[in-house]
Amino acid sequence: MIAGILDYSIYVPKYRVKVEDIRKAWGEFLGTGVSEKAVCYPDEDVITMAAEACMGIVKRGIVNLEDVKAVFLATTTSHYVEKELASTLTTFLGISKAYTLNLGYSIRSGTSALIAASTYVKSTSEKALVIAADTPRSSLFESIEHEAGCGAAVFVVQGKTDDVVAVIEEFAAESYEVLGDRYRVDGEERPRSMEVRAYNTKMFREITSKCIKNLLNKLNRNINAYNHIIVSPPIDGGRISMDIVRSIGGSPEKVCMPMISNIIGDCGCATPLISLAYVLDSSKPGEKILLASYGYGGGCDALSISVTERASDLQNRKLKVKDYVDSKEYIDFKTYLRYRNLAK
Amino acid sequence: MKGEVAVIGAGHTAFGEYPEKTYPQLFAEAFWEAIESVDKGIDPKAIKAVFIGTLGSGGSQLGNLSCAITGDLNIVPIPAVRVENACASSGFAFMLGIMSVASGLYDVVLVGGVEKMRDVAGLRGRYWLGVSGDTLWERLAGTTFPGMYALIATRHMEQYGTKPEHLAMVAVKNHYYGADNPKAQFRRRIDVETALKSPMVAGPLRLYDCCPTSDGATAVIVCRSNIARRYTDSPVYVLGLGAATDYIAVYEREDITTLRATVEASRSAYRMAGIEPVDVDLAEVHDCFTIAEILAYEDLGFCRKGEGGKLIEEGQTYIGGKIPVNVSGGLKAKGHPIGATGTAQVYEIFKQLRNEAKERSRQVPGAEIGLTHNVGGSGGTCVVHIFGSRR
Amino acid sequence: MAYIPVPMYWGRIPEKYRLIGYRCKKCSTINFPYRSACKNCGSKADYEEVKLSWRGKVYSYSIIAAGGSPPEFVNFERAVGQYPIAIVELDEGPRIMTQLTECKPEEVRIGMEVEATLRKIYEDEGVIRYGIKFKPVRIKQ
Repeated sequence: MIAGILDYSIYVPKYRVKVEDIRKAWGEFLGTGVSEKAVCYPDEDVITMAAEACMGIVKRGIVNLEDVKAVFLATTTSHYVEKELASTLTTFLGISKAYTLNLGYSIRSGTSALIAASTYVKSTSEKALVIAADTPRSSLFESIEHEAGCGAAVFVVQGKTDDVVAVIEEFAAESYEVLGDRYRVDGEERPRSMEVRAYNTKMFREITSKCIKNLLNKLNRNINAYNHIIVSPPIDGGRISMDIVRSIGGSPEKVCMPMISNIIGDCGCATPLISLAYVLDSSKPGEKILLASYGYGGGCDALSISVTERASDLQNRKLKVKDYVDSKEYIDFKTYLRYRNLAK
Repeated sequence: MKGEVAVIGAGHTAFGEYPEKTYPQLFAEAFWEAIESVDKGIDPKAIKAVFIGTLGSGGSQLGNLSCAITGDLNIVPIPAVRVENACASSGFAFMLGIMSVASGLYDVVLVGGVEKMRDVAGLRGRYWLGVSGDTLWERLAGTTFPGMYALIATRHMEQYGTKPEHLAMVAVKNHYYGADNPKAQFRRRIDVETALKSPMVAGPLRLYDCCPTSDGATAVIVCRSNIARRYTDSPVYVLGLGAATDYIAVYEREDITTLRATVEASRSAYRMAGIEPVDVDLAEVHDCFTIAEILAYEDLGFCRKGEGGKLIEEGQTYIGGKIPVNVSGGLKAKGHPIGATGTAQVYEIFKQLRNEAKERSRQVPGAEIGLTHNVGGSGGTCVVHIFGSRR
Repeated sequence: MAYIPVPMYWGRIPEKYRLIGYRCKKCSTINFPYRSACKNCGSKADYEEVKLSWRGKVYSYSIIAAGGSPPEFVNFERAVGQYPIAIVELDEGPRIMTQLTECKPEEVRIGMEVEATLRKIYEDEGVIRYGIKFKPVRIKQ
């Protein structure tokens, strides 16, 4: 046992645009695996989305966030490249004496934050707040922009595992150089890819499979012990995730698909944690979840999570993932351009 | 204090857009007109102090404007002070000016105001339109000046059933009189339909509900009443004055459909003058927005609370009605160079009480008691003066 | 040029980020925002900090159109068009001036229920000033 999850919440902006509308207005849709996606209102950014996700925890009232003593914040699309990011949130939440860690650089940073926070609380008797928030963006000539969504996820973890809804049993990681699959250069607004598809996919498969196998070895477990498997990101509509699971001997039906990103879009480093929240919302006590999260450039985290008896309270939660996903309003393509400031 | 001070001269530039005139040049124009308006003549050296109202729009002379003016007019070394209370700057300059005369310190004083609003445009210009509200809360909620009065209008319509038509009628009346006033910025009459079709600025206020930005200056000469006959046989006496503040931000006030500062200031003024609202023959009120004139009818006691719409609908604020209001065209049609408006109102009353409005259609027949009402921002400051042709 | 200095904004963070109210120790009235003397009894400021409830109702409103917005909101106005501002009466009583975000002009009514949310207010020289705005209640609980 490493740490326990006390509560969690997500936030997805209200506004959505349909892929069909983009295809009609732009002439083509350059993404895959997405049918509609979330769009930030012009006054939202990763920090405000993170704040809203935290408010979900505050409103539920199970955890008093002012008791939290550490904040691990992950994002790859911050407004600032130099500034303490978490301080806006510690001030917003009234958290004092907090240790904060601002993570980024890769869409793996959401799960990395969860792992770092878990090891932190394991050695202290404190609670930690894990936040992942992203709003990927690129140009309309790039598939990254077409698939881009936005969202945030928040988890509260502690070392003791009583009263928790799920336990993080173990983790494993893998790190190996991958060149040009997806990267963003300092000073540039848009991520790029060298688009060597076969190479990119091969590295994703290899690194992720190795990482999952490392995890299974540590626990001396078979992949079929898991009821839910999340492999992020869902490249190529998730087809590759299913291949990876199949290659390790698992059954593709257990792969969490679609992964929510098909209707809210690519949420960068928040995607794996939003998917975890979604799975937790409807999982049953005793079930096991495997979460693998790959980061371009390359590296992977894998976590093994076990759902506890307290999880039956999960079914009656207020503000579930579905509540945010389902409360939406569609905007048209020209509004999409204005909100994303793409008409420059 | 009643009747201790008299107005003996007044000057008023035509309000509008004058890129070729600097603010000292505009003020000088008003100054010379005031000097020349003194019936028996006056030597500028008779003036012993100067009070000038201005917001300082554009920021070209934020510091020490007072001596920039006395220097330009070559009336140094007399004392001078810049007075600022947003749109009520020169109204308060007038109040301080007459207080300085009534105290016995100075016997002849120059009071006036000047503003150059049209020199800065676009984003730079918009900065200045929001400075008279609460910065941290009103401005950062995303509004400049019209939005604050719009909040008042929304509530007045909800509480009293005031209609957009009532607002339009105020604009129509003020343009009606402004068309005959050569000092006015707008010289064309309009109708209710035009006003109701104009573009929205801050709902429910439309373009024709809002006063313009203007360049202009006004100046007034006051003296101790017992020496007024040296200068004119028909001085206009200051019978009453009252001033007040209210919370700067609209949201801080308990009842936002009334300007408490107007109520308090006018009460003090009526008391000092020993009169009731019904005794007033004409009023120059602060119609920065049409809703502000409707509030003024109520807050100055010309009608009951909530019946401001009814008063304009019945035509009672035209000449011939119960209480002619803004026969100069008001801020709406005459223009509103922020610092110059207060003493512009005094200029109008001065002319009217001496039966001197050149355009006879604008003269209120037999006017003997006049009232000026000058408000700063959305009602944070207010000063009311009452004038009489008899002491 | 009118300008809001950073220390001025920073000093009001408890109100702007957290919706902290100030309960007068003498008369228990909740003051919001901070004032140097209690709004009700006039006593010198001696307050207990209170977290306000993040819910309220619209007391009055206006729809700001092009040309009516301050320069700080030009980019926002370009993106969303006309937007509402409102005086919101919080559940605990105090009134606050705010922008209504994610709200169509036609939707606004006096009495409409709204909830608080942290948003970008504006950006100046690259520094983002965050603050509370209000929006129509999104998810009923």
